[in-house]
Amino acid sequence: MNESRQAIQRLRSVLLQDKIQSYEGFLRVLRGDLYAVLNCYMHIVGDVDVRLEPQEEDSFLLRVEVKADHIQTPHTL
Amino acid sequence: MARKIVVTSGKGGVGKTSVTAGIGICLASRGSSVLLIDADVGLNNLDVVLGMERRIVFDMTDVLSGKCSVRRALLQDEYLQNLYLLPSAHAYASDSIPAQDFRKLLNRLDNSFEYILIDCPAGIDSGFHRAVSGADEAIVVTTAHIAAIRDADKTLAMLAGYGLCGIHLIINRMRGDLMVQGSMMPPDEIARLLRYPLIGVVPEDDTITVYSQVGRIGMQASHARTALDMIADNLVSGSRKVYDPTVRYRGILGKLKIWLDRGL
Repeated sequence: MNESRQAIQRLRSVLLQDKIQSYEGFLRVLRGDLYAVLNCYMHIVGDVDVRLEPQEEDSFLLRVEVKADHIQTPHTL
Repeated sequence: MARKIVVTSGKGGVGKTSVTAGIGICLASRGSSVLLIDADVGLNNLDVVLGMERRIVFDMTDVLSGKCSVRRALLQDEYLQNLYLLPSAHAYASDSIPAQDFRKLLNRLDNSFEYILIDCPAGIDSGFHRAVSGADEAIVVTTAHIAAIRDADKTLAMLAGYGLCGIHLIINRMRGDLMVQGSMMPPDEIARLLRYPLIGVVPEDDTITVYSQVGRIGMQASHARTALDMIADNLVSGSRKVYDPTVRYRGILGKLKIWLDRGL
């Protein structure tokens, strides 16, 4: 009987999927917040690209890329 | 100062309350002074599992509202003089007790016991946060079912943010006969996937079911009691010896036992 092996594979897949989905939710919120903040300082073109890259020892690298076609001048802030 | 350990799981029905009571009884049997706190406000059952439900006069909510001193609310076990229960209230809503009040209550009891075990409500809402906020360490209880392990994984992720000095895992209700046949995930594999150390494995044991009905859980010699004693040993000494549920089912005699158990 190999139900145990199948269960382990399935569990691994469920846990990984949960982790990915929880990051996606977090990134969705972060994207929205970053757009709102950065839009105060520049005129953003397109979306804010936010990526979370797992590193060694359970740390993460957060990459944010945004295009702007002009920066707000100081007196308008 | 007491070691304050919250026993949680995420999923309900995995045996948190039974394990909390069992570990408390084993620690008290070794001579340690133990307080069990039922932090499940509204759906509390630690009193029933310990057979103390008819003796409750005051509970945690009475203490927090100033109706009585904490000493008056504590129930001493009839058989183990150094085991106490602080029961919870059945009529209150879970979010009526702020976490900081719960923490202050625990601080008042800190110097009176060696171990304070907190039976956490199921789920990861306000009741969970209240229970965990008062603890220094956590034990997460799960079974070998994928749904339970999934919830344990989420619970572990939440606990990681609390800065606890220790988080341990117990796999409850393990079926040694199914493990031997390759039909149930082995506990060390579950611990490896959850990435937390195993402090105990408790086998599925009818004595837990039978004796919890009469309020004498954990008092009888049984495989589950042996496993719970090993958990208490691990908590005290820092060792990691866990019960092996497959021992009874190995070899020819083990196979015979499986056939007999199934009535074949």
